[in-house]
Amino acid sequence: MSETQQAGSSMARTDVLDDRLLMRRIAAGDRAAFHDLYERYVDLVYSMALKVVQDPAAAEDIVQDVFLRIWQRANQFDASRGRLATWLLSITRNRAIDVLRQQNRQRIAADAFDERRDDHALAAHWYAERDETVHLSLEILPPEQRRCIELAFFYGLTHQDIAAMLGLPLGTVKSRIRLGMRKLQAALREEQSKGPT
Amino acid sequence: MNISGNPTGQQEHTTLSCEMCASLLGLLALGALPEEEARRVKFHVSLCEQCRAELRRYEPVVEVLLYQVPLVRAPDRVRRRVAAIPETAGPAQRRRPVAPRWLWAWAVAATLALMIVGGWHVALLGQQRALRAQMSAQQDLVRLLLTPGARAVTLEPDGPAREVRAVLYYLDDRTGVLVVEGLSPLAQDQAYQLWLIRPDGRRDNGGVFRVEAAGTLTLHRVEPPSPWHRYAGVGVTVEPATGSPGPTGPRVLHGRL
Repeated sequence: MSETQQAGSSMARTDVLDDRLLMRRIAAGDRAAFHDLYERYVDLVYSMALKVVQDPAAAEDIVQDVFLRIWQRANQFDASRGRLATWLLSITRNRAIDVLRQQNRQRIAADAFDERRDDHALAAHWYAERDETVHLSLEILPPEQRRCIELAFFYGLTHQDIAAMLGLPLGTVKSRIRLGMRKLQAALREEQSKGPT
Repeated sequence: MNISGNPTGQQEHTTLSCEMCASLLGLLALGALPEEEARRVKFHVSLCEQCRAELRRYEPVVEVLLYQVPLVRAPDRVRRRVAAIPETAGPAQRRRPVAPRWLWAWAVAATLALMIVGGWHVALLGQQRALRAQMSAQQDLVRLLLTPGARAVTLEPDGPAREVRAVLYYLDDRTGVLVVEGLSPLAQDQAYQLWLIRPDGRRDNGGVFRVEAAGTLTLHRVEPPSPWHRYAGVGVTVEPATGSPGPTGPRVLHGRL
């Protein structure tokens, strides 16, 4: 079994109602529920942390922080606002970018970001197959737009930082991000109008 | 909708047209705007429903981006550390410490003693407290505006259309700030009171505040008894100066969370 398949198998049993129930039980101090939850999502959280900080040791600490927060404040999760996986990815990304900022390592991590698509499948593909939800890939964007968006989103870089890093005019970077986001928005609308496949 | 700044045009919230704002919303959603620029855009968004709706349309895109991470298996060491959290971190929930009754009794007695010492002392302290409260609220507001994910809800005035603008800023389990402009000052024995409305209709007290003079901007710190996500709406009514356990007076503002 490939590493991706191993990582994804923990997500195969994802169920929105289960997530809601698990979080309620964790909020009540149920350790078994916490165990079930981290088994389900630890790979996803670690993947996001590693993507941002580009450092396995730092990624481990971030994973610890995120799950500690879940254990201590599970009641903060509001299922009506979206799925748990999205919430986890969001707080993991925010935490990881905070770490980069504290250590002034945003540019370093962004430099380490490798544009080559490695053998690991994206979380999007794995999740969409099981959830039958619409998913989208950044592959639909021209490389220059995709890079700017990823640098901003995953490394917390502003358009000024990106312009300096890539040696581009500020207007060019803003334009690429704006056009890329609008293209993603339009593509998502089109996919949603088709419905799940 | 243009938001006008001061005549010199040098304030941070100077004119930002909807067209200009719309061109920056994708960057805002991504977190790619510098602090100052993000603050200007957020301020415009908090007052412009059209731009607010446009920003919300980027939320599904942001969600898609979150899943664009290569999926890797977390090392066993990580799994062991996480598994140990319930043993090492203590109870799942933390309660806010509640001040003992004797402390409240002492606080009340001390306040009475201060009032007895001299009327003008009380008036001076009152002014200082009001100033400190406003400064504290201003700091909270700036923090909220700088924090990604902070929400802004525009409150609508009740009754005949008036030049009243009100926005509630809040984030998760933190203090919120209500910004109000255009409410009329009330009689000395009255105050405005904010209500936090639960889905079942119950009201929690969001605190009382006063408007010192017509046309001034008033900031009111809101410390919600429960996390913000437990509330479905807010309202402001006219109440006695010390507040009421429940709404008794006319409603002047309302909004949905």
